[in-house]
Amino acid sequence: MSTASAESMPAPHRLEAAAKLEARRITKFYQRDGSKLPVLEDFSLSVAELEFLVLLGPSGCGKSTLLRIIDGIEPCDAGQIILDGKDVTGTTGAGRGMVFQGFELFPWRTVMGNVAFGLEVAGIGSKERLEVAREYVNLVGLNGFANSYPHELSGGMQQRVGIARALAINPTILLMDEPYGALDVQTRELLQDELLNIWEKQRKTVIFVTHSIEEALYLADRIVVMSPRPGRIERVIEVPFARPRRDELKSTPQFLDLRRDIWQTLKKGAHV
Amino acid sequence: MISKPDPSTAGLSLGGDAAVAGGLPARGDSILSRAVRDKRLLSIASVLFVIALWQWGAGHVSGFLLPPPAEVLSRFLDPKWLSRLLGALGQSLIQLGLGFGLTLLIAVPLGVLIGRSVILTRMFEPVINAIYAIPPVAFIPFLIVWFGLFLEARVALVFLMSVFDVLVIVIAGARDVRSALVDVGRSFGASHQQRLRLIVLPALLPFFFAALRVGSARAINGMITAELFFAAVNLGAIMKRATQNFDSATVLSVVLLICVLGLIAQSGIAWLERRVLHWHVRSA
Amino acid sequence: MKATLQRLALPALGFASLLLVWEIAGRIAGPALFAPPSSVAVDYVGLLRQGDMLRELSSSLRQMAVGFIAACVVGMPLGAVMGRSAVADAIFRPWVSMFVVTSTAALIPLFILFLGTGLMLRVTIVFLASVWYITLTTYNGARGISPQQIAVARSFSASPLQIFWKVTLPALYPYLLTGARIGIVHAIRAMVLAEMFVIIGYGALMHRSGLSLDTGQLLGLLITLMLVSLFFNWLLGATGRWLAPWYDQQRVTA
Repeated sequence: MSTASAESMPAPHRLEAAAKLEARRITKFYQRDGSKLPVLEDFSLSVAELEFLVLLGPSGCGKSTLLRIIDGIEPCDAGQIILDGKDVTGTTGAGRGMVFQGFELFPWRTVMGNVAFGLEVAGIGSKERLEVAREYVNLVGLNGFANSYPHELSGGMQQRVGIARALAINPTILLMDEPYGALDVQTRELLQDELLNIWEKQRKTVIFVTHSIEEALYLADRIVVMSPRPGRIERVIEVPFARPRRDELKSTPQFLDLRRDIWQTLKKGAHV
Repeated sequence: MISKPDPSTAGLSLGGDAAVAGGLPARGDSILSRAVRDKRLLSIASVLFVIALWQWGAGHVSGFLLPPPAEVLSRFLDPKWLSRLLGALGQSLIQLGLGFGLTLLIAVPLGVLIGRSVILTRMFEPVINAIYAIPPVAFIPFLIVWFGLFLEARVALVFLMSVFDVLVIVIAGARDVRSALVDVGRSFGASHQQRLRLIVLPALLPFFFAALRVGSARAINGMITAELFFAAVNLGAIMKRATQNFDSATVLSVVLLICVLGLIAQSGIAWLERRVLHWHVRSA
Repeated sequence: MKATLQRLALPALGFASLLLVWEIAGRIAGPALFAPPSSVAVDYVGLLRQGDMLRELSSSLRQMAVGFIAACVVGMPLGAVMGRSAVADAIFRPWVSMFVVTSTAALIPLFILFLGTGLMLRVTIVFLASVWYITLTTYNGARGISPQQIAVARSFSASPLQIFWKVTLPALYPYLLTGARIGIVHAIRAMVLAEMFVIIGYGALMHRSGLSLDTGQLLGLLITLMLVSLFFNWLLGATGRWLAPWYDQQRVTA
């Protein structure tokens, strides 16, 4: 399949502005027993301003690795990450906020403490930190739990804290690595709606990684379907559904057809 | 829209839940069944039973061999003797403080340094484990040669007996810090120092307390060993003299004092731990 | 092969740097203070040939074994019962807690008064030093036995005895072995402690080397102790891995 940038696809929904983030010819190998396994090879991707992009694919296709490379917490063997025209390859922080699948909250900090973490690292004074943190704690609906500890919260609540933490630093781009993967279906659907709500209120460019087709179709402006070993773009889909999106969308025939369609694509590319 | 809070059950230790009850059915409100249900009464009963047994035993053998409990108790009630005992304890605690303080001062930073570096860990962990395998008591002849028989030697022994335990635990803890948490730090652009201060050290706290618990017990051990093996002073001197005089009541009372000291130390650390680590969820 | 060499390279480097520092310090300090490894090695050969060291070592170890085995025989069932029965736990816990915080060294003068300085003393001290750790480790293991696993056995109509042999005991293996490993460390420590106090056996050899400022010999004796300790640790670890390969021993903590 083509490894060409997704920019060549027709784009009725995409904004005309230059790409917010570009991944150029990313290559990454994993070493194992002396042999090099390619995870990503010459992978390129563009994300437009304020676009909600979903990377969809089975386990092992490199989508999480790509996200981590974009975030700078994992090095790549070749290639560049360009954000707002600046090369940020290999650096962390700088305009990117990440939400982790395992929540990864600091157990010794309260909700407020966790949300304020990025601000603290950036050297922002404590009074201002607390104000900003409180704003985001309220945004994700956890006002009553500002002083609770992670172990007192359910999984869904913990991930909300994770989202608030990432948003609090006002990132240029929000990176979400299968954020709802560790949660049960009901919680996941609730959080999807919440995320869309927040996104309507606080528009940001988002790259969201998932292996759930339904989730991808529900959330995304554009879906990049990846297939594994090495990770490459199998297909790009412009999601035709209007916003704001409602839960009922998931049972409409158009949604279900598209879902089946993508499933066929995934089945072709996936190795069990 | 907000999901109901669901307190994590991971906080409950496997304690009372997994332990199967003794199997005695509750039979009305008799003292026996009440004792069985209130486990603390049972513990107290157990202690009283042994003391009673001891009293009986002491009646049947020579007072030199087994002093009756009353005699041991009377030691503690004699104000002159008690003040001498506590004075000796105070002196002993000085070298405990010096030696254990030195241990913490050296072993904690060193342990973090080694634990956070894969290279240093691989280089030195086997060496440390090898030295740890030598019974610290065996170093006593060395310490006599190097430090003499007095305070320096005692402090050195307390240090030696506690430092490796603390070091090993701190290294394990520093290594154990979940890389995912450190990744979060990196993701937010935290510098190496910030990651150390804001992530590694707090994550290390549970291990620090484990090291404190084990290390303090070993340090107390070192304290009393030093007073028995070097020039006998303080509590050790009291014990030695009493042994020579076949005064088992006094010896036993010193043993009890040390036992109480140990219990106080462990309780104190546990109390501190509960306050500092209120966020910590102990996994099975 | 290359992987093994790579794995050993760093530890070897660590040891080598230690030996280097030791050699330099030893040369400066002299044999009366801190004999360097070069002379310790020479002395060690002498020690081996002379025979005292090995003879005293084996007799001490034999006596230690009596105390240690007694500690296992008492501690393991005790810990298991305490772990499964809240009543037993309540009865024995005060004693376990009290003894485990009491220094072994403090017990020696006391038991010299009770038992004299013969074999019984050393066996008793070794027993008292190790039994509580074995008990506590087994206790933790017994408490951790998953009720679900027992329920599975019961749903297959297993009798209580079968449950004990086929579920409880295998689940306890790693803890029994870790308990034994911890116990033997304390047993060796107690043996050396008692022997040095009473100046007998292996401990006497060390005491005498100390008195005569022969640090070369002293260090040699220490190294032998270290090797013995490491050997037992390895032996128990290997036995554990052989008996219960399905369980990650590293996860068991005391």
